[in-house]
Formats: sequence, structure tokens, C-alpha cells
Amino acid sequence: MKIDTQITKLQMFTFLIQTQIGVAFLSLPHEIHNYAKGDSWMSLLLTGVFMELFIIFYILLTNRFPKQHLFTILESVLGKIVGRCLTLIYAGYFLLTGTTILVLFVSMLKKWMLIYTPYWVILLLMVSIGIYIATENLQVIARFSFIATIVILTFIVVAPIAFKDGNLHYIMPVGDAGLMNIINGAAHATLAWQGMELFLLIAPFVISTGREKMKVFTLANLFITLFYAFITFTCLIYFSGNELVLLPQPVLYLLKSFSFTIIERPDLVLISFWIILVGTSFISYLYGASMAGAFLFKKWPRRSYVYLSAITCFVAALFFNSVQEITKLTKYVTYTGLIFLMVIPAALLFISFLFQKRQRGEIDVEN
Amino acid sequence: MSHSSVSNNENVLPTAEDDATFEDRAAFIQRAFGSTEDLMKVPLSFNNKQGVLFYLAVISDLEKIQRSILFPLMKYRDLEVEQIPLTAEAKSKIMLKDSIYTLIQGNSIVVLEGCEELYSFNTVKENTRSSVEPDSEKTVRGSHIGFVENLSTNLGFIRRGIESRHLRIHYERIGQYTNNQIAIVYIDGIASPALVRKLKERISTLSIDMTFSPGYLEELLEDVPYSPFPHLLYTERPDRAIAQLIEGRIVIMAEGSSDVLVLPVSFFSFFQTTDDYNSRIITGSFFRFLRLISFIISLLLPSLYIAVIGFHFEIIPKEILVLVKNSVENIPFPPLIEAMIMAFTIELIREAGIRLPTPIGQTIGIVGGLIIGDAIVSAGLVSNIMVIVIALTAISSFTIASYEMSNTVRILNYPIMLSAATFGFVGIIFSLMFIVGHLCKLESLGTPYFTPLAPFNIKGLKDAIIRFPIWLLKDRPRELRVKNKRRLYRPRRWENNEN
Repeated sequence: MKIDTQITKLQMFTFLIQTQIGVAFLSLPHEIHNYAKGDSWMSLLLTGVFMELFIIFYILLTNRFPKQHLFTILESVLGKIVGRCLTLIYAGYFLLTGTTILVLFVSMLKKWMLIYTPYWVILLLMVSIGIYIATENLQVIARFSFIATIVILTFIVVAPIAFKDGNLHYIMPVGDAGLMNIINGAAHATLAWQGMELFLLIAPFVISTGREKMKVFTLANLFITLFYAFITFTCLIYFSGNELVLLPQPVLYLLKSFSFTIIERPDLVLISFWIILVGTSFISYLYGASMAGAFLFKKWPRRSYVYLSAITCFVAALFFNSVQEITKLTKYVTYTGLIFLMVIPAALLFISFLFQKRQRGEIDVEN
Repeated sequence: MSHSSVSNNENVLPTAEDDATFEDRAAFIQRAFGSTEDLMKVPLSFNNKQGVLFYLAVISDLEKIQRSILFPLMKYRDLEVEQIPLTAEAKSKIMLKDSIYTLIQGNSIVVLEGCEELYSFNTVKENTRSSVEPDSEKTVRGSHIGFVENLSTNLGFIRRGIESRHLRIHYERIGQYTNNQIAIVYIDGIASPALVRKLKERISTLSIDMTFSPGYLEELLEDVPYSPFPHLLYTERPDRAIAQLIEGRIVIMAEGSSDVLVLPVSFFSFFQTTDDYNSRIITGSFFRFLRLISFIISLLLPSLYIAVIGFHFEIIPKEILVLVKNSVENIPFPPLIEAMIMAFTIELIREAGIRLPTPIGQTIGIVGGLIIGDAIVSAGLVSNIMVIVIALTAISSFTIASYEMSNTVRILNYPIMLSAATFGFVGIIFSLMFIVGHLCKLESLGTPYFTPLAPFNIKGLKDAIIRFPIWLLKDRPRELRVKNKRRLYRPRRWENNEN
């Protein structure tokens, strides 16, 4: 059977970068600066290199199971029961990440734009757009991601305006923070790469060979790494170290300080664009969670699990929204993210090597 | 015939010798035209010999056939064909290989048993009803012919425009009581057979008591009827329909309607006009781009204004702030109500003027536009900036080449304005996400609607946002899954010769 909703390499690229660039990137320079100070940009480059290693793992794993996605791989490698349990845990993790995205998004939006709008109304907006697009097949999601990529380009175009007021001395001397701090910063930046694990889900639907996938995945990683490093670098030379400690969303403060002849406050425009980036990440996670649901219980179509996941995220986000809970939630997601981003795929690869497991016969997956 | 059709192996004609039997020769002609249903075949018996008369119904004059072929042949049964007194210009002898081209010209052909040559009769149909330029699709340059209300005349326009044996016409009758004839037209060897099959299947399963126009049909055929976006294109221009056919699309025509339906189309088809191709490259591209910009302006301008006034005053630079403040300060309504009043008034003027005779329509325009516009500002009900905003929006929406698309934009305006008034920029962005998401979902007869943007197709972009030079538009749209992908080979080959 031929899967008729396949996506192109370009769509895979945009899907991956859209999933990864999401809620975290506005505050990324601030977060990393807490550890790596003026060398934060190096931390990010380091994380990028480190992630490339896992990309190789991912590709090796999918090459062993070219027509299977994450959940069927889990089942093939670990057996039916363990595989299914892990799928369930994956679903939980996707829901947790989705909830965190929602919570961070709403709290940011309430701070910057909609101060008086009730919390749940903003939440509802995001959940509804998530449902609207995630219920469709992967092709539609990927098309949407592609168009949303225009938004990232506007960030790349606007940010360099800061260079003319920038001060290179803020990042001098290079390497001042010390290697340990740079590595520490790099470790804390992994959250920004979260979303990579969804590659395992979409890999069988991409029209390409394993080698091409490797190329596209690496390009996506390169793009993300350079994008993060670039944005962080811009913030680092624009704000002094003392300022960065105080600014939780340095990217927005950076934009706020610009002014054009017809737009006095570009940050308001760009934070609106950022909503689209958050939306695509949320959609991807809803897709992931619903895939898990549809895989576990084949009785209902995937569409119904999108509703279920979205409602779960909505309810969860409704309850955990105080400042302490947000920090707790972010912490959980970072640590569990490490497991799902790195530990499980690496372990899967290791086990499949050890027991010589690879795809047998034709296995059809639906999306 | 064009290069492209020659390169297509599937449609290469079986060779037929002139000395073949008469059945073979008849079959040769029949096969050349494939499954098209406008090729008429009338068996004859003449001078104890069998024969067949061929003609293309849509471009031949039945009266002439009756008068100058059938009647004389019946009358002089015993003579040789040469001896029958017919009008001189009406008859000539041709070889089999020329027969197809002769038929496409509108002539009739008689194949006779035992006769090596074929007889061709001039039965070209002259246009009786003068066609007028369509009001909704005027062009500055190019042809000023429009379709008329007669199916066979309209098909004649297409046959005359595409003098190829690959043109296929497939008739269908729809409507239990009205029993309207409709025609599905496509080019064999270009249009995707899967799409043609899909469309025929959809049409053959229709069960309805009446149809009176393609518009009626549109609702029954389209993929997502509730979508605000049109996904079938109307045109009243034969040249446009022909261009669409050559690109690989399918045209549906109905008896009694001067509009034809083109499908499948993409979002960007609604921004293309014949004038783009008739004018120079740079001007054509500029106007195409202008239309797309006007789409965005008419979609977003009022809501952006509402959002700025209601939520993000700080975004306006100081110099403009004073202007805006003076204008808005004494208005009793919130910007949303203001905008709604104005937008609604414009809709009223448009709707009132549209069905009235032109002189009264103009009066309505003056009363509506000038008097209401001026009075509403001086009465202090609506700010003058809002009048400018809404007027600009309306003008931009009418700039869009398609009437359907311009209506869509103005209707979409209301929900976007509402969300802008509730959530500011956030509301606009969410509405945009819904619209773009919807466009990504939409399909027209199973082909993606928002292509070449999503799915991205860089070659398709050559004729979407701006118009590339004609010699660079070498490929047919990819989403149509055409059989013959290439349309041009080396259009400017003379360049090599002159250097």
C-alpha cells in the first residue's frame, strides 16, 4: 500500500524548524546568559554540534526501520507490551510539552499584549487553532509550517538593525566565562531543540532516501543553531551583561528599542508573528500526541485524539498557571525532554544493534 | 500541429494508407478524434457504394450539410460524385492524411467505398449571434469576444481556438426536469486522465431536478462547499478558457450560460487576467503584484486600523498620532462600530447599484459615495480616517481580478474586524492563521488549492505572484499532474541564428 499523504524534503525541513523554534526562543538569550554570560552564543553553537550527534543516531535508527515511525519502532524493538507502555509515556510527554507551550505562551502574551483579557480566552484561541490544523493530515500541517517559515525570516531581517547600536565589547573577551560555564549553558539550551524527536514520527512519510534525510535534518539543525546563535549574539552585543540579567525576554526588548518611520513599536508586530511560531510547535505536539493515541487504540480516527489531546492540554494549562508552577513545569519539561530527546532514541538504537533488530517485511503506517 | 502533441507517443496516429479499405479509413478518422463526442458519423449509401459522412457538430453548419451534401447525394443516386452538380467551392478532393485537419476547420468529409480520395465539403458555420465583450472581464488589449448563451456556439469558439484533434468534448445531461446539456471539455494528452475521470464520476452521480448555470453546478461539484474561497473559476472569455485548457485544466460548459467553469484552479488563478499576458513583462508583473497586494490590503487594512486604535496606540509614530487623535477624538462609537457602519454602507451601495440600469446606478454611486461619505463625517458619526480606510479597502477589493474572490475578501473582513476589536493584533494573527490553515487544507478537485505556495513549487511561482516572461513559462502547473509536462521547448530559437 502506498501512503498517499507524503511530504517533501522541504516540508520536512520547515516542519522540523517550526516545531523546534517556538515558545522558548524569545527568552533564550536570557536563560543561557545566566550560565555562559558573554559566551552564550558559543554555548548555542556547542549545543548545535552536540545535537548533530543525536541526529546521526536518529538517522541510523530510522534507516534500520525505513517504513516505521517511532511507535512501531518501539514495538518492534522492545516488544508489544513495553513498546506500548512507552508509547503511552510518549503521549504523556507530548501532552506535557503541549501544556507547557500553552502556559508559557499565555503568560507571555498576558505580559506583553493582552493584559486584561482572561487567561482562558487566550488559551482557547491557541487550542482552537491547534485543533483546526492538527486534525488534518501531515501534508496540511507541513504546508502550514512552510508558510509560517516566512515569520522566521522577518526576525532574521529585523534583528540585524541592532548591530548599528551594538557594542562588541560586551562579548569580549571571548571565552571569558570559562569552558565549564559554556558547557553548562549548552546543556540548558537543549530545551530550545525540543521538537527534534518528532522527526522519528514523520520520517517514514518523507519522500526521500536515508541519505537525503540526513542532509535535510542536518540543514535544519544548522539553520536552528545559527538562528539561535545569531539572535543571542545580537542580544549580547546590544545589551550589557547587567541588563540581560534583568530582561526575561531580551529579544522583545531588543525589538522594542527600534523605531521606524511608520511603526514606532516593532516588538508588538513581531510578538504577534511569534504567536505563529508557537502555534506551529503546539500543532506538531498535538499531532504527536494524537498519533500515539491512534496507534494505541485503533478504534477511533486520529482526529478524535487531537480533540482529546487539545482538551487535556487546555484543562491542564488552566490549572497550572501560577508563576511557581510555570517554573516547575519548565523544569520538568527540560528534564523529561532530555530523556525523550536523547536517552530513549540512543537506547533504542543501541538495543536494535545489540539484538540485530531491523524492519522485517512491509509495515504500513498511517498518518 | 504543435511540437508538444507530436512528442506524445500515446496519441501518435496509427498509420493509414490511402489504399486501405473504406472501413479502415473511416476507423482512422474516428480514432484520430478519440472519445470526443462532437464528431458526427453518418452512414450513407450512394451509387450502390457504402460511405460515411464525418463532421464536427460544433463548428459545422447543419443547414449546409443538409443542402449541399445529403440532399444532392440523395437526388443523384446514380451519378458519380464528380458529376453531381454542387456549388463549385463546396467540394474538393483530399487525401486521407489531410482529412483530420480539414475536419477541424469545420468542413465535412465523405469517405466512399472504392474511392481512393476523400471528398471534403465546405460546411463551416458562420457565427450568427454576435458576441459581446463580457462585462465582468474586460481587457484593454486582446480579443473582445465573450461566450454566448448557446452551448454549441461556445464549443465552436473553443474548437476554433484549439484546432487540434486532441480536444475532447464529452456531453452529459443533468437535471431530472430541465435536462440541461452540459459539456466537459479537455485536451487529451495534456489533462490528467485521473482528474477527468474524477470529474466525470462526480458529474455522473449528480442527482438533481434542475440546473440552470454552472454556478448551480459549482456547489454540487466543489470539494468544500462551506469554504468562503471560490475553488472553481468562472470565465466568460474564450481566450482565457482556451489558455486554461492548454495548461491542462478542464472546462465545464452548460447550455444557456455564458459563463464556463474552469477546474481545478489554485488560489492564484483568481489573480491572473488576460491582460497580464497581453501587456509587457514588467507592466504585466506589476499589475499582477498589485492585485495580490490589494488582496492583502483589503483583507487586513480595516482590522489593522481597528487594532491600532483600540489596542496599540503606542505603535503610531508621534507625528501621525496627532492627526489620528484629532480625527478619532469626538466620535461617539468604538472603531469597530464605525468600521462596520462604513463597510456595511459600501456593501449597500454596491448591492443597490449592481442590478439597476447604469444611469440610476451612477446616481446611487454619487448619493452613496459622495453624499453619505461627506455627511457622515461632518455629522461626526464616523471619523474621516475611517472613511479613508474603508474606501481604500473597498477599492482594493474591487482590484482583484475575480468577482468571486473580491466578494470573499469583503466577507472575510467582518470576522477579522471583530477579532481585531476583541484581541488587537493577536486577534488578527489568529484569524490569519485560520485563513492560511484553511487555504492549506482546501483542495480543488483533489489538487492543492494554495499551491505554488503550499505545497511549495518554485517553478509554479513563475506565474503566480508576478508574471515571468512567456518564454520562461516552460512547464505546465505541476499540481495538475498533466500528462505532457512541457509546454515550450525553445521559444526564442532565432536568438541563436542571429548571433
